[in-house]
Amino acid sequence: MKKTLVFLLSIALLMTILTGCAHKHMPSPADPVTLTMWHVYGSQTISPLNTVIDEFNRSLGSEYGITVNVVSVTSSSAIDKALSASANNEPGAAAMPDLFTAYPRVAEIVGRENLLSWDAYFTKEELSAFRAEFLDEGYFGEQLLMLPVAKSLEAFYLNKTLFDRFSADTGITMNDLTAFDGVFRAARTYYDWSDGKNFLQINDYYHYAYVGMKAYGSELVRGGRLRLDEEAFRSIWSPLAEAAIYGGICLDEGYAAARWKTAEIIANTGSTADVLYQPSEVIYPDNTTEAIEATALPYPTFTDEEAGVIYRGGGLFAMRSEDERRNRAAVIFAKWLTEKENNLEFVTTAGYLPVTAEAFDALFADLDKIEKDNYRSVYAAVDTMLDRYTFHALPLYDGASEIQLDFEANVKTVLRSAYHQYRKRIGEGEDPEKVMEALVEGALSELIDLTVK
Amino acid sequence: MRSFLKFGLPQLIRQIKNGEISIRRRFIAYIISAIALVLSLVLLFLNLFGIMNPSSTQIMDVLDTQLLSYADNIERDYDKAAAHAISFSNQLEAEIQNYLTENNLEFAGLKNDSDVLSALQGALYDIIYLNMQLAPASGAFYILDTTVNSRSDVPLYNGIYLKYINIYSESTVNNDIALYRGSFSTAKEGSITFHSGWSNEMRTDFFDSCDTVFSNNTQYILSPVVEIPDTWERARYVYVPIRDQRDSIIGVCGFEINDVYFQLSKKTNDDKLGQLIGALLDERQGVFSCQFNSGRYNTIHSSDVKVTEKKGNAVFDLGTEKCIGKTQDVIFGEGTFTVALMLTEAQFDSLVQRGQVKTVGIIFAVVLIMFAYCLFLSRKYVAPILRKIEQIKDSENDGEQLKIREFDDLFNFIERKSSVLEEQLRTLKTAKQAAEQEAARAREAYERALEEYELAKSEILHLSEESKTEIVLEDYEYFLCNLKTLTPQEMRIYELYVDGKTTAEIAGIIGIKENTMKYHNKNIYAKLGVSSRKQFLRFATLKQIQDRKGKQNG
Repeated sequence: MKKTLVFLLSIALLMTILTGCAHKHMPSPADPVTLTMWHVYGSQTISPLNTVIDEFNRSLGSEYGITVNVVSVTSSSAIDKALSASANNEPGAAAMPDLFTAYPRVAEIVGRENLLSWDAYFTKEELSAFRAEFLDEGYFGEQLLMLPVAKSLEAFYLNKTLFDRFSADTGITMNDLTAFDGVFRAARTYYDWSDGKNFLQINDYYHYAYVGMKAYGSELVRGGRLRLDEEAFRSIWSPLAEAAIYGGICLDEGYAAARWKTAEIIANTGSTADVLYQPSEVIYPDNTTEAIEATALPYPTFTDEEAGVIYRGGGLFAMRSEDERRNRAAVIFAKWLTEKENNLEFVTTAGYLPVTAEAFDALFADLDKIEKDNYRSVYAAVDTMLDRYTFHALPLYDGASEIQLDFEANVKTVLRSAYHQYRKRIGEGEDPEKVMEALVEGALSELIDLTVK
Repeated sequence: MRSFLKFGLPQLIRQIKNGEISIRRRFIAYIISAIALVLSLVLLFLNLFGIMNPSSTQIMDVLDTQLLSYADNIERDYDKAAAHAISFSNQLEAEIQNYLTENNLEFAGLKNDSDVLSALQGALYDIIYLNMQLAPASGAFYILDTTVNSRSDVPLYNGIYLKYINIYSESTVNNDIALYRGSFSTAKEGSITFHSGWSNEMRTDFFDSCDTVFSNNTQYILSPVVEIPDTWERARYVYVPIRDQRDSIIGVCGFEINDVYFQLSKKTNDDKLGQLIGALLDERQGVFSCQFNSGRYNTIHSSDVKVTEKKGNAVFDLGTEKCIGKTQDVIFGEGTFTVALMLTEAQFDSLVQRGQVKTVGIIFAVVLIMFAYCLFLSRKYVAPILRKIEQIKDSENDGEQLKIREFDDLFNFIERKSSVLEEQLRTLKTAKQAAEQEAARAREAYERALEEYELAKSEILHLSEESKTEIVLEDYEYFLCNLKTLTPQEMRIYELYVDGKTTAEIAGIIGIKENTMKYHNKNIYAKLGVSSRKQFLRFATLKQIQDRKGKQNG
């Protein structure tokens, strides 16, 4: 009798344990998991990542009961801002997303301890499939907090249709656009040719300065501070400032793609991913439109000796959850997204580079497979840079994010101010060259002052 | 179980009926029956009150309850959006009229005048911006039946359409605004970003539903879900007409509720059921237009959605998967919409299965407890009684009390009775023993008497027989009278003959020769008057019997 009782109790206990443990750690259709996601891969217009995520939701996600729900597709700075608001529980802020793509700087905003460590879920073999330089960027100490899913280089975009018209009149050709000196010269010429329109928008002055200083054998950042007082910086500052103060460079906030659409600018430096946002036509105020051809060129160089470019594109972060199923769901999605075929499908429709060595080789083995002209142009430019350029990752240091954003805003502020002064003073009859010289110098001093403060 | 029912149960019932079952088993059977009866009654009552309904019914009940508040929430939000849209329209009508009056213009005169239309947009921008901030929406717009370029290949409407760049949460306070439709100057003057799908004006087929004629009684319309051109988004629109002073419709205005905003503002979960899928659907010509609170389903093509009814529940075939849920009709404007709350089939099945496992687990636990309780009661209650009975049977009562008054009294009574009976038994045994001894003695005396009687009887019979044939009374009397004539030696021989000795033995005993014996015998015979040894022994035996009788009698 006693044995029977013990047997029955054992069965009851076993059943309880088994039913309790059956789906504790893995997501399943019976107990679905929805992961909210904010990402930067796309815009309000189109998002290749959303398309790929739909595919995931319908295939592997469906098998595991995982839904990746994209709530926001925006810029990295907007994500930084929103994450900061969420992390600090600011009134009106959204709940933290389960997944988000961002730059490494965000780890400090969110708190490393709150982020999922991918290396705990990937085998060494799985991690070895990634390109080492992309993977290294995601390590914070021993922990891999940022998983590379797509990377981009900077490139130079040109509205070839309008440029050809400009070129025919001025003699400035696309060959002049291989180095920044030529670009700035074209910008000044275009300003005159177009009756005061900007030729160019530089999407990231911090990148410009970082690569430029490297080209002159120096470093923009030393000891966690920007070295704007160095001669190398003066070398890259002067041509930029001259073109901007003259009026050839757009100094307003906002996306270059929107300005392309209204033909406010015809060129910009930006991520290879900007190809996604390039319009196929320009719209004039009377609602007439004109089809345009866009092309991509390698990032302009600073010197003949050293060609460099920033590679960028943050990575995928996941919030660590107490519910292990959510962590597993994030990992299942991340592994699926970085598989060769899925990764290639995603990156090649978004202008990015794949993150595994196998996918990388497959992409550049045959660029003719890329259907769209503007995308093929971008990958051709990247191919050129792969051969000749040095790739630089941005350094991570205390306050890097804030310093970068401040530098960006300060450059625009001082140059915008100088531009207005320049136009005012030469309108008043002052010697343009002298005014320019003074304003270039004054703007630099002002920038240094603002940066030091 | 089947074999138990086949063999065990009938056998058990028969044993109970025939009283063949032990008290312990009978007790356990009764207790189990009692508990099972109570349990059945409890289950019956719980079932009556819906507490123990099957899992699927319970799930649907929870969904039903959730649906009430969910539908109410949606109705309230859209009603609020409609109220804002009407107010928005009134403000626009007033401002447009004001602008036209101030500039001495007719509405028809706005066509193809980009400067005037841009200026009008500038005048209306604050209204649209403020109303967008107030309404529960992801965007706001107004479009007027006019254009900057009537020669355009594609018919266009002029107006402003603002959208939040990103909607992270239901609260749109922190979101930046982008100009999706509107003039270049509007964006510049308002310092707002161009939406990446920006265009100057809207195609007239931009909103299919905007062409709907507002009847006199229709204050607002909630559109079906439409793809927003040049974006990856879909949305419904709450919109109202903009009228001029003559009450002619010159445009429409309203708010956009895109999928993301719907997802964020219409989230719903249940503690028991987990993640629920909420949706707002409307059916037109057999095709469903759906907005789900999960991005997963908002990518499904409308024609793939099929809704059927099964046992009072709605079954949603979403192409790749099925969902089960409840629906409730709500009316927005002139249209009837359906609010649905559902679970995926896998989720539903799992919940039902979990419920079943739980029920089986509870029943199993109750049976287990019942079994354990019976064992406990059996050990605590029946076992001591049985032990006591055994002790009483073996007369080894240890005197321990059961602490059950009735049984203690019974056992004490039995014990007292038992003592009296034992004493009586002992007395009877002693009496029986004495009687048996007496009987044995009597039987022995009887047997001896009987033996003697039989001997005498046979002797008498013998003698009477002999006397009939051989003995002559005179001869015997002669024998007796002459017996005293015998010499001592002859008398001695005579006595040895009476003792049963043979002639040779007597000769040996006396120490005489055979011839001497013959001589003595001849003399004895002659004296006693007998002619043969046989007659001699017969008379001698008869005399011996007579002598013994004489001794006994006297």
